[in-house]
Amino acid sequence: MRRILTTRVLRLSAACAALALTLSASASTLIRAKLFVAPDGELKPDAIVLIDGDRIVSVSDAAAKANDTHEYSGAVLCPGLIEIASQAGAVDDLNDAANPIQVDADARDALNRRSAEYDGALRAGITTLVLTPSNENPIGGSTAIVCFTPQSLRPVIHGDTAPLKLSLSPEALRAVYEPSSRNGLIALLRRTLDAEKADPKPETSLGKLLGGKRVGIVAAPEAADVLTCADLAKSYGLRLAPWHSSDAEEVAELGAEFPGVIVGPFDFSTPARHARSAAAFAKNNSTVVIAGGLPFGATDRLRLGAAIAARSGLSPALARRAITSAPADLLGLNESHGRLAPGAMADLVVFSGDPLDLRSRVLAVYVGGQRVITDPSASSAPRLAQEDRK
Amino acid sequence: MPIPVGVAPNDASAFRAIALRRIHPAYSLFSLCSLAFATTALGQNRATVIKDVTILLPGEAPIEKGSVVFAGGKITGVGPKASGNFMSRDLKVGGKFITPGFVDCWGRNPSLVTADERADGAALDGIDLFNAAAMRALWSQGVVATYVPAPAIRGIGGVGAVLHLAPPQSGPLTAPKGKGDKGSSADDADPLLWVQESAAHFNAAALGDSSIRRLQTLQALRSALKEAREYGESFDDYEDELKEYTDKLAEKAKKAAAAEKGEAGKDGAKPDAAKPGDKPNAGGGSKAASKDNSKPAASGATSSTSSASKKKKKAKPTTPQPGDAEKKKDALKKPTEPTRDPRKETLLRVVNGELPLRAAASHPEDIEVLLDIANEYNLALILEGAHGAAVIADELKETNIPVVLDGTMPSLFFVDGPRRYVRADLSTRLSAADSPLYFGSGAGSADYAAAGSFALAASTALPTLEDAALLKKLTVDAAAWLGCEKKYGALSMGDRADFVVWTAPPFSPGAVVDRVFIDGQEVYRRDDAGADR
Repeated sequence: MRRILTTRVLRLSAACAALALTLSASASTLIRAKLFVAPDGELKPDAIVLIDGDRIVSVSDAAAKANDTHEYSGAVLCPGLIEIASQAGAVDDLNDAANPIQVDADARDALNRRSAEYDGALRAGITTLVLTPSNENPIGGSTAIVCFTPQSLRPVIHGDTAPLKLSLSPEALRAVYEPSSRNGLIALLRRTLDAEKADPKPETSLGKLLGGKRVGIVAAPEAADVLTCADLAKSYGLRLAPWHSSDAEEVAELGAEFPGVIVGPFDFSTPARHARSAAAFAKNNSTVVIAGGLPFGATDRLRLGAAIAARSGLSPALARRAITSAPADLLGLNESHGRLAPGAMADLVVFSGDPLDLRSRVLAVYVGGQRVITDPSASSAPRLAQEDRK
Repeated sequence: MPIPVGVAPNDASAFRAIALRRIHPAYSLFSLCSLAFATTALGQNRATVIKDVTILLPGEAPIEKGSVVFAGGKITGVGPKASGNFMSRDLKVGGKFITPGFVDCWGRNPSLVTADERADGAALDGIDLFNAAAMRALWSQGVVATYVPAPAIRGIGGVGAVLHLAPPQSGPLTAPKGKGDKGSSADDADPLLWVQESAAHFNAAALGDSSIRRLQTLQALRSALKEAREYGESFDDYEDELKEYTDKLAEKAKKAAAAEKGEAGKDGAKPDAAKPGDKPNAGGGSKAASKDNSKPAASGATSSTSSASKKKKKAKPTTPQPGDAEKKKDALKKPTEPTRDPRKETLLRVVNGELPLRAAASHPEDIEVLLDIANEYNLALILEGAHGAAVIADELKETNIPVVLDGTMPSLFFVDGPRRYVRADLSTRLSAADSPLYFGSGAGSADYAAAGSFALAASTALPTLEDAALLKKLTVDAAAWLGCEKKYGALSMGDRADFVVWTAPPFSPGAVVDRVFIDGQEVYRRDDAGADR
């Protein structure tokens, strides 16, 4: 009896194992193309990416095999693009006119999961967006990292490493009450940081900023604002990433003091001086991240910004990195997003050519290892909008 | 196809051969003098050679390891075997790729042109010759010639011009010799200006205009064209009336002469009165009469004919005589010339097909109305932007209406303006409708746009074109369409030495303009101090 039971258990276990193996094998996909964007931004041959489940298993392994193979001859595989400063689906919902200091505000609360703008972003190859409070609050609160699930394609909040948003911009100044001057704005920031320092609350967003666990994205439109950023970072031990383009050539040497610098958005009306900011910071060994400012401007403004930066002195490799692995690094997602590497999330885009060539089209988008969009040009109606109508 | 090897205008190899040969001392002296003369002559037109570069010619395969030779502002050799002579100077450039300069079919650089909102305005009047920074921004994008409109915020603007972006000259621009010139001679033609009057401009809508406002603007265009046509007709009527008037005057004079002759025959006087065929009012001064007939005076002026008849009248008794009423009835009244209106003059030229009408429009319905108006008035219409034309592309079929695209890209966000209507497949759909397509920096351009923006925007607007075809579209095709010099933009022998040195092929990622040459002069270098804003 015992033997029979043991045999049955063993058989059942074997069957389960076989089933598990089958399921696992069926979830694996091999994607082949001509070139792929490496983590350093260079275009490399042997674009063979093996996906298992929602993760990348191997890259450039010629011996890799899977049940399903997707072939894109002549195409370029690229990690899903990362938009670091977006207000998609939440325009006008990410600022507070009454209260300048919004330590507790969290952009995740403004996420509109039904907005068709996310579907549009996905079709442009953007698989990660950072919902970023506007520049109108000296402390605008936590940003929110938004990704997609392959099942519904609804945007979802990813993790809790999202940076805090600060602003030194004149947009944060008030007409009648504090802060009404740049001086007052910096004083208010210092006062808030001092108060937090005196009575630490490590679990709050400000506490995490002071503890070095979170990055602060600082809108710094003038060169003087970058100097202030450096000063604040030094005084309080903060990890700040200034967002600055206009006078970068004057303050570029400070760039290396920050975990990263954000430039952009750029388009065809961007003055040459602003467009050279990416190259200026890169020359000083800064990690340069390019912002697209979605949904404002062109849908493809993230790629456009990288293309313009590449024509203004930034190397093409660093320009590709500035919209993929560099923002992932700044957001603390360097293990999981923004790169085609084993262990990373299988969010990737297939372009018909170099992503920096604006003639290149998106041929397919993969989210969590599943192909969720093919040939977007075939349909102009956003998928979410269609679903919403049902 | 590579262009054959060229030589400098003054080939000095013969002089060199003479100088090296051992001959009689007298000949040596002659040879030395000749050599000195040749050196001086060659020095002035000394050839410059850029070697070992990849030459990208419009619509052709790249020429690897070729040379570009130029002298006296002209291309004297392009190709793998092109070389200079012993006097040539080798020029080392940072870039490795050479293309002809771009021709912008829709420049909208506000610093370069600021025209008032009026139909009789001209882009030419608004050109700021001293805005070197704006010129530099254009050169940094590889642009060497541009069409500049004289746009209004909305409605009818002025007349555009085509400029050759040679370094600014001091003094005012003068008109070029050729079609459309205003009587200037070749000597005072300015190298900056190629086509003085390219097209009248119409802007279908200003940003934020309501539907009603847009309709009003288009209706205003229709009315203005109608008025212009009536204005033209009024001058036609005036010409007819004037002819009739002069004919009647001549007839009357003839009758009077015949009557006087008969009376003189009776009286035995000499026949010295007006002869048949004489101009009217001959008695009042033939010179004045002739002037009066050849060019009708402006309103308010009176002819010498009438003054002569007045004099005659004064001599007669003032009391009414029998038959005066009949005479008054028979008295000729000179037609009055219609008042000249410069605004209508411009539009009259548009209605007469002498001047194209360039209409900037984005909304599909605006484009449809413009097509109707063009059809009604038989206009030479050019569409600028036409961002929403993808959905009505079929209506453009067989119209052969050229469309100048710009680099406006679609947006997710609902905003007013061109971006709201543009679709990624705009150029594909227009190509399918056989619309002639051109490219200009247009609505997306700015005062000091970033380097490379022009090439990037062009590749966005015409995404299906390969590099060689796109280069052709932006150089020779654009130049020919805009009426630049023949074959301009082809970088062939004898052409202006207008070319761009790139660090990489112009449409590849990261390509940067290293240097720009116009008429053989280096006008832009990437690393120059004092740079772009």
